[in-house]
Amino acid sequence: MNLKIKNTLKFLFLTFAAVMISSASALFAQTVTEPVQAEMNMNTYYIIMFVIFFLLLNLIFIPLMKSPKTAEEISASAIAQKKLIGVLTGKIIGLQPIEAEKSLLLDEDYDGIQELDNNIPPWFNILFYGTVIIAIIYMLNFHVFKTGKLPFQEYNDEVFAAQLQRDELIKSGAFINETTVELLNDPESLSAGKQIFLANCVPCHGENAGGTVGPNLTDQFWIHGGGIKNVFKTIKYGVPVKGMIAWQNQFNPKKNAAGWKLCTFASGNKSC
Amino acid sequence: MEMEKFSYDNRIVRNFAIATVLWGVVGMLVGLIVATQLFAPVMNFANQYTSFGRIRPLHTNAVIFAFVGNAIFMGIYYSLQRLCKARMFSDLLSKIHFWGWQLIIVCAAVTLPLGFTTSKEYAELEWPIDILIALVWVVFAINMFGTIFKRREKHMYVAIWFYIASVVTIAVLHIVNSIELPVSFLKSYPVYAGVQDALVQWWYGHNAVAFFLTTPYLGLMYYFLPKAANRPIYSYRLSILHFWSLIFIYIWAGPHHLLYTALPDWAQSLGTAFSIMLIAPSWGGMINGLLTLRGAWDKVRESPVLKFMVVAVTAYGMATFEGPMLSLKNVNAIAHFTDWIVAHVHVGALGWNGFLTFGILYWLIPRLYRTDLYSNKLANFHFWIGTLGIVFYAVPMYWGGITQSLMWKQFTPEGILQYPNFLETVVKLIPLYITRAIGGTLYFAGVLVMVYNLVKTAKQGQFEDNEATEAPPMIGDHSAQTKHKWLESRPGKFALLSAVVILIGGLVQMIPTFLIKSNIPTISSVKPYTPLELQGRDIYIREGCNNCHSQMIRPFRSETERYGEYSKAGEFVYDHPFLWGSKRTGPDLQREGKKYPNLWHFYHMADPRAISPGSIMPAYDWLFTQELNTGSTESKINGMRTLGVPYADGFEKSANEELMKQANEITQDLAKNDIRVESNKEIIALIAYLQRLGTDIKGESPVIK
Repeated sequence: MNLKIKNTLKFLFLTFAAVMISSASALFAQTVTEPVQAEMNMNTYYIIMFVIFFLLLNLIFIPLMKSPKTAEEISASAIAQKKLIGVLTGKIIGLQPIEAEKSLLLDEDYDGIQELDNNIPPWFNILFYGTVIIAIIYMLNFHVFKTGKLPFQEYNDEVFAAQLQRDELIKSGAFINETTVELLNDPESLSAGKQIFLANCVPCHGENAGGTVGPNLTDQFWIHGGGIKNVFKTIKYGVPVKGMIAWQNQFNPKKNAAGWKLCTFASGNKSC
Repeated sequence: MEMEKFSYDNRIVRNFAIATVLWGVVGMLVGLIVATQLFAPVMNFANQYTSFGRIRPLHTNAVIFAFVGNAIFMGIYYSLQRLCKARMFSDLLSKIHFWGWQLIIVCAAVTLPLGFTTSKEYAELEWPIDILIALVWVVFAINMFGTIFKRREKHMYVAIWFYIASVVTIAVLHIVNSIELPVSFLKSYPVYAGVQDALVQWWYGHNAVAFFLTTPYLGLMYYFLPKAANRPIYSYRLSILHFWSLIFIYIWAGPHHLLYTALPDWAQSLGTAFSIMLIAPSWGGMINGLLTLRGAWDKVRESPVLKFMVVAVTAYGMATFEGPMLSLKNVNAIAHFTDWIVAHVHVGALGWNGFLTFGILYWLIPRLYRTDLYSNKLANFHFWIGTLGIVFYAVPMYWGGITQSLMWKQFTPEGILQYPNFLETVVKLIPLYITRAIGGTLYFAGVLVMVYNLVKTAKQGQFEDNEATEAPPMIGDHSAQTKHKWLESRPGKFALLSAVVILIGGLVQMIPTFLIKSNIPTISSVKPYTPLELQGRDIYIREGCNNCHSQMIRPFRSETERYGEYSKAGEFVYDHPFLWGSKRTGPDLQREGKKYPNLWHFYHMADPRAISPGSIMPAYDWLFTQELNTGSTESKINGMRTLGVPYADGFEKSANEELMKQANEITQDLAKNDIRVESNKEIIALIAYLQRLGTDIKGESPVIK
């Protein structure tokens, strides 16, 4: 019974150590220059995997220790195990056998409550002073040696990386723009465009594009120029002064993708 | 030795116990209503007094200050008398404390739905109530220290250390965070603006969690857990180490609520560093609690009291490990502004505070009424349904928080936001909000069962106002074996030392932020609000918009793509109070200005679901009928000028003229779309404010190296 408790405690301790180690590694992973998004997800993933790995290790480890064959081996391993656990509990967990409690009782009692003079568990001290050291290194890393990246530096890197990627995509012709866009009239594109219209534009332009907050898109007037190229431009950059927001960050400008179909729908409603 | 005869005041304990249960039921019921509002907007009951923005603060204030507050006083008044072997210092002060505190709660319950709020979380109450709180707190402090000074026990037990630190620190926190300039009865502006206000507020908010929800409860645990288990405290030395390290380190960690914001980087890093160091001191309490039960685990199986306490202490351990993890920048980047935080605080609130309170009540009420608990079976039922409730509450909120955050951050391979429409990420959470409300209902049902059980217990027992007892007088021997024992017999010095310990962290963080200019670089294009915008801002505050909308764009590409340029410290220099928010149930509004036409806001505030189908925002009908109170403009402008906002001298006289001019411009713009609305309606002021938001630096291109 006693052994069981000790085993459980040891198991808990190892799991805890695993969590501590993995979180400490996550702490300093902030310096990686990869886009923050992917890095964060991977870190979380690593933490989870680390914990699971240690849990499994413990689950395997404890039964393994209990599988000796002969009686001799049993007693020998039991002794070894006791020794090992003794060392562990003594040095790290710091638990005194419960029988020793009487000698640890302090004299005073407060409304019947007494206190034991147990040592502070060594693992507690390891944890406490360990985190103090981590905290000091953390401050040094970001503010003295400046090896860690502060939020705005992380941000600049992130934006820079995204800009490079975007330039690549533009060069490869993956995006259409206001000079390359062309009108599509096939029913499939039109209905896809209609779906996008219904999902995004109805609040201002009305369900039948008759206009509410935004102007009517079904009459013969074009405020910002007709034709697919002008309509594309209006949607892409918006007309901020009049409340038409720029959609270039929201619609996919990839060839044959949403943004194009929307333009087709919008300009197809009236004669271009 | 001659024994002195005296009696314990049990009546005050019982009164606080009744208040605990009563306000607990009320606070949790309001919590259940706000939880329901998030998936069924009809539960806002189409009137201003029950809309989410107004009653969410009612829920948090009720459970923190009414439920937990009364429970703290119940536990302290019971244990302090017995640990000091003395009756409370003054029965009159006890009474004033009790009724004063209930008066504060009633004031809160009336003013918050009426829209009187400072907007600062857990410090929403307006200035007259703030003064009342300070006075009642002083009464409590005198009563407590008076009792400690006339004690018959030479040394103060560890529970009393925690009580002392809590009383001292809460006084400091409350006063510093509530320094505000009244501009009318029930309306004030904090003296701090923007970044400084945020720093002070989260120094307060974080340490209200520390010194209202944590340290007093640790004190209660140190008394009631060993009493209920009949076991000695595991380690006296651990008590000393974790007490002093906890109160010293906790106070520094406030800035972890402001990671990736416009707060100076060094302050953010200090917040993280001290949060990491906080793990062990926090866990000291859990270890001492759980190891005290060593050799008594058979009793845990039998006793519902101990079961509640074990889960409470375990929940405390989980929440205090999670807290530091959430303070790591890369975890915070995901969790902040999401329901993950809601899950985190409820593990603490429902698990630690709730369950410890229930454990204490099940132990205490039978003793006060000199009888046995009416039904152990019902108490066990409460335990299991409560535990289930916590699980059903926490899991969906963790799930929802992570899901939504990842959706916010998801880019397509072309570098475009995958979910550009914020609403898409909200609609995804609806089933989780429903599950959470079920969890809350289970928990609440357990509380009702407890109420029945306790009432039955009281009915079958015999209550005694004054419990007669006797104890020898304290011997005037001042020799001490250790330095700490020396300190334990000197309450005045003990209080002084703990005050010094808790002041260090706050001072180190605040003084540089207030005094060193480079911490908040000024931006010349940032101008004070116009009178109409200022009035609109106060409507924004009154309606509690900040409960669901942040005004803080963090430096992530996913946020600048969605909302615009990230927030700069210099943008908030005229914001008394700051309105950064702590949760994004709706999208960030920092750059909302000029994004949509006036008409859009007009329609959207009247019927959010007509403009954004599926939205969970309540409608704000009353803004369209209520007239703007322009009588307050002059005193508001004067107040702001006193606080350092550069309005020209005499501007307050012509402010209303300018206000009407701007309002007319908006109504004329609306009239173009056949909307006929008078310029003096509140909605016009709110639109003016929303259209101003973040526009001062709009158009400036982001810095790219």
